[in-house]
Amino acid sequence: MIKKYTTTARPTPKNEIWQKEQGGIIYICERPRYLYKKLEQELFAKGLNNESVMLFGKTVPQFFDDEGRWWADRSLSSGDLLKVFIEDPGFYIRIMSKKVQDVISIIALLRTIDFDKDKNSLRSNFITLFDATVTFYSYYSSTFIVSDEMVCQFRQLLDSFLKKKESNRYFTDFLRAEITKEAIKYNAVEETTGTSKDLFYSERRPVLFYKEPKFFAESSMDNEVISKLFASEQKGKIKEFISLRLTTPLCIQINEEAQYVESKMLLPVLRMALLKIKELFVEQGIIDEGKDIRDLSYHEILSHFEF
Amino acid sequence: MKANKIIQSGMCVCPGTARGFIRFFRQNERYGKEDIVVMESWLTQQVMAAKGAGALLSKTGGLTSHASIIARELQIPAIVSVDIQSLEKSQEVIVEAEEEQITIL
Repeated sequence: MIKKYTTTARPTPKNEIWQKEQGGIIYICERPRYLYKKLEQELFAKGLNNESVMLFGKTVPQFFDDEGRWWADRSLSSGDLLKVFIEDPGFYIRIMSKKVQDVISIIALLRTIDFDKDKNSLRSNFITLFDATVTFYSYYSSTFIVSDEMVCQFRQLLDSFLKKKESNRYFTDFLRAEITKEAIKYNAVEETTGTSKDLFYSERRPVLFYKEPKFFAESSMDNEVISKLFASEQKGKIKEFISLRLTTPLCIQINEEAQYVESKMLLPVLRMALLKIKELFVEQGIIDEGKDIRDLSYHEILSHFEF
Repeated sequence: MKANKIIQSGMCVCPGTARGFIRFFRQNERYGKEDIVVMESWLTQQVMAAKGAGALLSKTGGLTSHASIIARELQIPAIVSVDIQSLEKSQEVIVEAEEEQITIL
């Protein structure tokens, strides 16, 4: 039996979260509208294993259902992860610091990819890009899944002791991202209204740009806000405030960065590589024109290069 | 004397106050500081196209939408998820984004 619900952070029906118990384990599907193909499932499964080891020191149960929805152990759900990060904001910062270094490496690597149709370079591009994408999605839950919940909780806390005007002024101090400035500079801000999230969702040509996030965002209102918190009935929430004050501005930047890296850089490059590989396989009579290359596994793709 | 109608709705994504006239967003049009641009959807390319506007109001959008971060970066007062039903073309309004308030004059 599947329980379906929405959260205050993502209240619209399209953002429903699904939950079910199987074999004594509570599984959560945070994005039930995303249906992943074979190759995507391999990427995400590897990424999630990496992420759970990084977060909890062990892999956690996960599976894809028959339609390709991704279910993961509740410990990786938005609500549970947020509790972990509020309890230990330093842990969140450490993970994000590692992520930033990984993203820098991924972008450097993308700059080296060429698109010759030569069989050996296509094969090597595929291996490189698969690994880079796994690395990128090794932060999936702590980036994409937790962000709305974190922002919402910070916002609710501010609203509970500040007037609307003060809360808006303070909160919007943190609605900034260094990478957004770069995206504007590179004219790379266009987005689509599409909802599908898969390896081919971004059809644009890659644009490579980057600027590291600011780990400690500033606000000229900090002193005033802290003093209002202590003067309010919410003064007992100082630990939560400090955690969210540290993590939320970074979370907003990391989430923004992730979406630019994903939609303008990594996935467009991967898409181009996969389409070139498909072209080669079709030319060689290995697969039909109508076949979606994402329906092949990693090893199937590699084995098809052995012609 | 006619009383001003006040709409309290939406979420502020960039603070600021602007006075101007309602214009519904259309691609390839230019907007100036006297324009309060209303959008049905909250997309980054539309925010960029309306970057000269006095303020932006959108029917959709959230605090952390890309478009919200762009509006904040460009420092255009903006409110998202606004009830835009009672807004009409050429109405004169005051937008007070921090108060999430639109006053129809």
